[in-house]
Parts: sequence; C-alpha cells; structure tokens
Amino acid sequence: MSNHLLLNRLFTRNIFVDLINENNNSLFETCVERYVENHASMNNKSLISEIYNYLKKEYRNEYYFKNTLFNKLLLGRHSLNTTTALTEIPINKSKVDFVLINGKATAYEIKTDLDTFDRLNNQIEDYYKAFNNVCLVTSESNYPKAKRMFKDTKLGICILTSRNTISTRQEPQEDNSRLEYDVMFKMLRKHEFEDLLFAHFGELPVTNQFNYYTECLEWFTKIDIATAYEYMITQLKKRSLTEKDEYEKVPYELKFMVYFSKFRKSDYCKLNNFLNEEWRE
Amino acid sequence: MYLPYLRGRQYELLALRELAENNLINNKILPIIEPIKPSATLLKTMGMFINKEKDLAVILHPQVGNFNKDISILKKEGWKMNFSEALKSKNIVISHIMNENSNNELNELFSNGVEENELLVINKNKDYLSNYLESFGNKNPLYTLIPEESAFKRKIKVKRVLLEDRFEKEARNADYKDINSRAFSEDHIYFEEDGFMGYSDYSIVGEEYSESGFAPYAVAIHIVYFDTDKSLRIKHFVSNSNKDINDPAGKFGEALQKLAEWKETRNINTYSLEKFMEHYRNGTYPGLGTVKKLAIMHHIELISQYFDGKFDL
Repeated sequence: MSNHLLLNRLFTRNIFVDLINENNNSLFETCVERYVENHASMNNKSLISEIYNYLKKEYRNEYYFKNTLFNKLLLGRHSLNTTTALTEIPINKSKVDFVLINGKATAYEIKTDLDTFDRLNNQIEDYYKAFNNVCLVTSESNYPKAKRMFKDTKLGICILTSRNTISTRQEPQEDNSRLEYDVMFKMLRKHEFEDLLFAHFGELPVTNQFNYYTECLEWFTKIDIATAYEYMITQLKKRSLTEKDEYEKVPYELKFMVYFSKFRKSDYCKLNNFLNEEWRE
Repeated sequence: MYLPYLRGRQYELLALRELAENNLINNKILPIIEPIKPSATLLKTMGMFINKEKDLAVILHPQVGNFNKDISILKKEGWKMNFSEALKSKNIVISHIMNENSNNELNELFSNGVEENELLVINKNKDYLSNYLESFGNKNPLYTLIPEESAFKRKIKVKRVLLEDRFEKEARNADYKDINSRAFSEDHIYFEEDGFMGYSDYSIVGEEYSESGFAPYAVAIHIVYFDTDKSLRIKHFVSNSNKDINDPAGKFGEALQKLAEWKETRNINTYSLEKFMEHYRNGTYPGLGTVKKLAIMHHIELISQYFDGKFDL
C-alpha cells in the first residue's frame, strides 16, 4: 500500500508544472515504470491514461474521487459557463474538498476507502457555517456507516459505486439555520467583500487600515443572513475559469488538476506538447 | 565590529539599502548578503553602498536559494555586466562559504585577480576546515567567520569573526506570545576579549532558510534592546486575534499598540522605531515584509549606535 503513495503526489500542480516545463520528473518516471507495462513507444497522454486506469481499478484515492465527481457533476450535468468549482477552501478549522456553485452552492466532503471518518462530524459542522447544502461522497463499503451517522439529517450522501457512477442515496436538503456571518465573510477576498458591501450600502467603511477589516465584517453582519449568503455565493461564483477554450482540450484524467492550477494560455500549449511527446528510455 | 548576515530576500535587501541611504550605520557595521536570486534590488543595494562609500560583503557562491542556477541561465546581459562591475568596487567585499566545490570556486576567484587577503570567508562545516587551511596556507583572508566551537577556534586564530545564530526561532509566530522577552546576545561586549575581530549573527531572522513563506496566523514584531548591563534582549510584540490568516492589518495594529506602549517607558530611539510609530499614529499597515524590514533595520542601527558609544555612561 505505501508504495502507492507516489500516486497521490502525481496528479498535483507542482508535478505537472515541472513536467510541462522541464519535460521530465522523477516521480512521473517512477510511476510509469511501476504502473505501465510496455511503456516503450507510448506518448505521455496514453501513459497518464494508463496510470489513471490503475487508480480506477486498484487504488481509488482522493484524486480519483475528486476528478470523477468533477467530471460527472461540473462537466456532465452542468457547464463551465454556468458553474464554478472551488477546492481547498478553508472554512473555520477545516478545508473543504470541493464546492460546486451554480444556482445554489453545495460543499462536498470526500471520504475514500483510504480515509477514516474521525474528523467527519467536525468537518460537516464547519461546512454548514458557510454553505447551506452539504454532501458526503464516499464508497459503497462506507455507506452503512455513513447512513447510520447521518440518516435523519439534511446531509446528502453520494456513493462512488464500484462501476464508477455516482449514486445519490440521500438528497441534500437546504439548511440555513447554521450559517455564520464571520465564517462566510472570511472566505471572501478583499475585493469581493468590498464589491458586495458597496453594492448593498452604496459606500464602504471609512476608517484606518487597522480597523478596516473588522468594520467591513461588522457591516456584513447588518445584512439579513439569507441575503448575505446570496451575495457571498455570487462573489464566489465569479472565481471561474479563464481560457475555457483551451481547457476543453484537457484530457479527462487531468480535468480536476488543471481546473485549479491557474494555467495560462502558454501553459496549455506546453501541456499539449508534453502530452503528445513519446516516452524516452 | 558587527557583521549582520542576511539572505537576499527583498525585505532584507531593502533594510540594508535604507540603512545606508539614511546614513544610519557607521563603519563598524559590515553587512553580509547571501544572495538568493539575481534581482534588480540586489544591484540597487550594492549601488547604494558603493555610492555612500560603505562596505558590503556579497557571497558569490551562495548555499541557499537558486542564485547560481538562475545566474547561469539569466538572459539579461545588462544585469550580469552591472553585477560584475559592482563587484570590482573597493566597497564590495567578495565573500565565500566553504563548501564541497570550494576548490574550484576559489581558484576561479584567484584567477580573476581576487587576492586572498581581500576575501571574507565563512567556515560553518568542520569537514571543509582542512580544505580551507590548504587553500589559504599562511595567507589570511580579510575576515574568517567561524562558530564558537573550539574545533574551529584551534585552527583559525587570526582575523577571525564569531558567527552564531542568536535568534531563537519558534515554530509559529503565535508561540512568541508566551515569551514576552528573553536574552539575545552578549557578543558585542565580549567578542574582543574572546579573541575575535568582530561578531556576526542572523539578526532577528535566524539562520534557517526556507524557500516559501506562508500567511501566518499571528503578526509578531521582534525588537532588540539593551538591558541595564548592556546585554541585548529581544522582545516579541504579538497580535491577539490569531485564529486564522485573515486581517493581517488588524493584527499588525494589535502588535503595534503593544510596541508603542512599551516604547513610551524606555529611552530607545531609532529611525525604524520612529517609522513604526508613524504607522501607529496614522493607522497604516505597510505589509509583512516591511514589518520584518523595520525590525532588522532597528537591530542593526542600534548596534551602530552602540559602537558610536551612545550607551556609555
């Protein structure tokens, strides 16, 4: 099992930035040698696809879950033009795996077979402070436990089945009762909360720099919480992908990683070149 | 003599440049820069010292960062030309850290006409001591920096400078909150008695070098000051609301408030403390880099005042 830890590091921005700029990376090479038979005359695109296939069959790790969810939900059911995805957003003491925003926003917590449920309750608690829809995505084998824990709650439960489809076992229900102003506010960047406050109040707080943030938060709490939530969602949704045309061409296996890697046009070009290159011994 | 050892991060270079620009350091201060990348700020800093006819030591084969690699692939011919031009100035002290490539690197320097006795050499690793003795023989470098250990002191007896990290680093900024103040250094009092020409430390930054910073939960301002016995202590002014990475400006305000109250009770004046007080009065937040910059400047300026005899009774 511990040998597979390499696979957790492979599908990350750092490795791919290295790969597309230097055209080699020792971690990628080790993965190819270990997980792809007859790799001699294959191009990098097929090699990545083979390694991903290994994940699918033998080692459904967090990246595999995230990427599957991402492809099925964002690119399958919705579209890049109407939907924004976020990842690794700090919420209170947790970091949310995945947030999908279209008309409404849903926070997803992923628990693969490799994870424990130890922190799950706290994580769910935290997400409800910032989002009114929360969903757990886990495996079939974890389902009985998840059901036991959450059957009378508003939490959604989805299963990534052994056939790699997403099966919704419990629909998430909206819960606005646990939203907290300061947790919502802290997810926003400066220009986002300024934008929001200005739109609502027609002006911004006038104070020195030490008190400005606190004052802005103070103003935010004066907005009715349902409205404040809508404002927050609208701001977060604006954090969408640029270079949509280039992004379309990214292979299925890399969709999640590239979406959150802030690639520029030149990076897409380098990625393409890299993918088409053949493996050199 | 005091030789503050800094890495060439933006705020460290700016600290040195502003000290020189505002004539805040005397000739008892010889700053050392270990550059981490070939930047415009590095050139401007060297330029400022040359203009002001103040000495600055620049390490040519740094052991942290990507300077060597970056400079080998650098396309800006102008930068390289200006850099080697600046190195020829009498105010720039060419410096070298003993390492596994020292033989080649030193030979290259010597063949470029650098004399042994113009060099500043840093010995931090016992493994390269014999190498050092071979390379220099009986020609002594201008200064040789060594740790306090006897293994070094036995072998290097002349023109030696004490190099020790006096900054006790905590894992997180918030951890300084419980410390309040602690002893920092007595090297400025005892270096001569201990047989050194001068002493060196990593100011309030510490020796450890990490490539990437991250947003801290707490803001800490590290201020060095003299105790009644002239030993140096360091006081940590830390923000209160340290639950997450948000609102650094507010946290700076909290830490600064404490600094302002403390300063009221003490007779301590430097250019940088005055800058801190300006931010306090105006309610302005200059960014975390500037906070570090001002704290470094304060330390070095204070030592310069000490060598000016400002604290003699």
